[in-house]
Amino acid sequence: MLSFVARRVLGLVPVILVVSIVVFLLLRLSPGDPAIVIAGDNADAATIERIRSSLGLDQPLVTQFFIWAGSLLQGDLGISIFSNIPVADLILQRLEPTASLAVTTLVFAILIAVPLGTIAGATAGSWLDRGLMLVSVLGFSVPVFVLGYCLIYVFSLQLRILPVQGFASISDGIGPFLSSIALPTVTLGLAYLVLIARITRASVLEMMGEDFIRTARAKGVKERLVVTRHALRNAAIPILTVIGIGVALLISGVVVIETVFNIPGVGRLVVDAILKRDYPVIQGVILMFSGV
Amino acid sequence: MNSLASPSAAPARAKRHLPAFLSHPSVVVGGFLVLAIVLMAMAAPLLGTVDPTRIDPGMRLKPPSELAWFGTDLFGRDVYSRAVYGARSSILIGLCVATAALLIGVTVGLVTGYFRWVDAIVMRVMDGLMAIPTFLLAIALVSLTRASIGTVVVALTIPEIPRVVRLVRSVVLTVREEPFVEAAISVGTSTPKILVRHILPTTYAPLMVLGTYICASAILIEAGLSFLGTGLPPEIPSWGNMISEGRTFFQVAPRLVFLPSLFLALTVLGINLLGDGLRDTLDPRIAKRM
Repeated sequence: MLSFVARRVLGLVPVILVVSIVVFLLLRLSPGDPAIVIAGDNADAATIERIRSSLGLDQPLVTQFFIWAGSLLQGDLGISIFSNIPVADLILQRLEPTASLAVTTLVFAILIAVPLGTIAGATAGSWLDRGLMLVSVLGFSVPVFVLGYCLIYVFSLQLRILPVQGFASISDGIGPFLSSIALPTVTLGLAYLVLIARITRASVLEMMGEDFIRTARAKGVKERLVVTRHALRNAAIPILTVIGIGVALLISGVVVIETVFNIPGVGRLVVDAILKRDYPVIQGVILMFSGV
Repeated sequence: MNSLASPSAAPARAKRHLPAFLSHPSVVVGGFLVLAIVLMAMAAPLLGTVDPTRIDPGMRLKPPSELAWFGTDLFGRDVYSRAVYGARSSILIGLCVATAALLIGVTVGLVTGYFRWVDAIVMRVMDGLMAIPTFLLAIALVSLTRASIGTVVVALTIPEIPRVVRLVRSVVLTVREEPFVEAAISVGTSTPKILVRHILPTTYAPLMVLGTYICASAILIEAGLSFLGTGLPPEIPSWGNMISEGRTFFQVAPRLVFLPSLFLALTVLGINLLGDGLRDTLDPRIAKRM
């Protein structure tokens, strides 16, 4: 077991290395020169040169990479070129809304998807099953921001029961927190929900044909228990795998959804950083998300 | 002589699938949707549209009327015309990204699957690329240069390549041990010829399915990029751009967001349905490989 864990961890090293090289090159090779941007419009060549050397941008590329990777290993993600705040701090400041959204989305999606997928799988061919499959194709096809605007339109503009945009921290009270995070959670969770529901259905359906299900039925186990205790439990591994894979899906959604609902999270941070070409921030956020 | 067998085998298989293909409900509905959107994109000037880029300051944010069926946007441009023309950018991008990702992915996948020594290096690079969330990688790539259709296509293609490589590689790994490949080797067929004539055709079916999914995902991601303001330049009519511009006026004129959203969702839905149908009819096992 220990050697298995060790091998898996060692196997991650080349992946992390490739990710960091890609992220580093990607942003260092881009044409925008942050030194010129920071120096402003009226700066002379000497000022630009001074800023460039203070940022280490005048070093050869390979040297820059090793300096960057070295400090990275010490947990130093660098300093934002624009706000002069360490990137790690910037991310930490913005982490709460994003983390809250991720957790509520996970809980929401799993709580609905697993029972729904299980019932659909156990009653394959029923109207519920067909309905779920239809909704799941829709869920994959509707972009998160479109869904977000539809929900805002119905619940915030027409029914007026939920706030349009913004984020309330959980420390502001559970009521405002839940009402501000409800729409983003549902929006972000739908694609994730249908993904999990689909896999749950397929995996339960596969188990329902196994011999041990027939045995369980033959010895008189109630159908409900056959499905939950016997089929679902054995179907758990693919479901857990897809819950893990789906986290990557969530991340893409988070970036967009934070713009739709005006949530000051990490996604918003990276979009702003990209528009300003703030390399260290972009690198830090991509590395953090890739690590997840 | 072996080379004679496989080209004739491929069309024969396609013919056998043709009826099953067309009777699958997903393929029919999805194919119809895709066809309708493609026709709409091609016939855009004939569908009662005006110049989608014409700015008319006197007609800003007008409600729907006989002149402008879905009203006008912030700059007085006709929303209906922009949405119809927007189909062109989305379809162009979807097709270009799918084609480019398949071509590059197939080449790399064939080589890595067949030559074991390349495999270790290339697959680590692919793992690394896959570890970066697709959307973030695309956003970062597109922000490298000035926004244009070309840069968006490149930025969307790169994150899709690893998926193609993995699929092709997995097919090649199973096929290369098959007797017909051994037979080809034993009669002295050259390696490039084995790859192209004997191994490549076995990847067609799964690639067709993956291609449709890549196309759908490219259209979605382009819309997302344009929505965030990092995609296509704003003067190009695209659904993502329209939604992005319309969101400021969402409370006043939700139609600015809803019309392009509807087109976008229908297009992606059509392509996804087509993909699902193809997957079911061509090879049920593909579902598990992806």
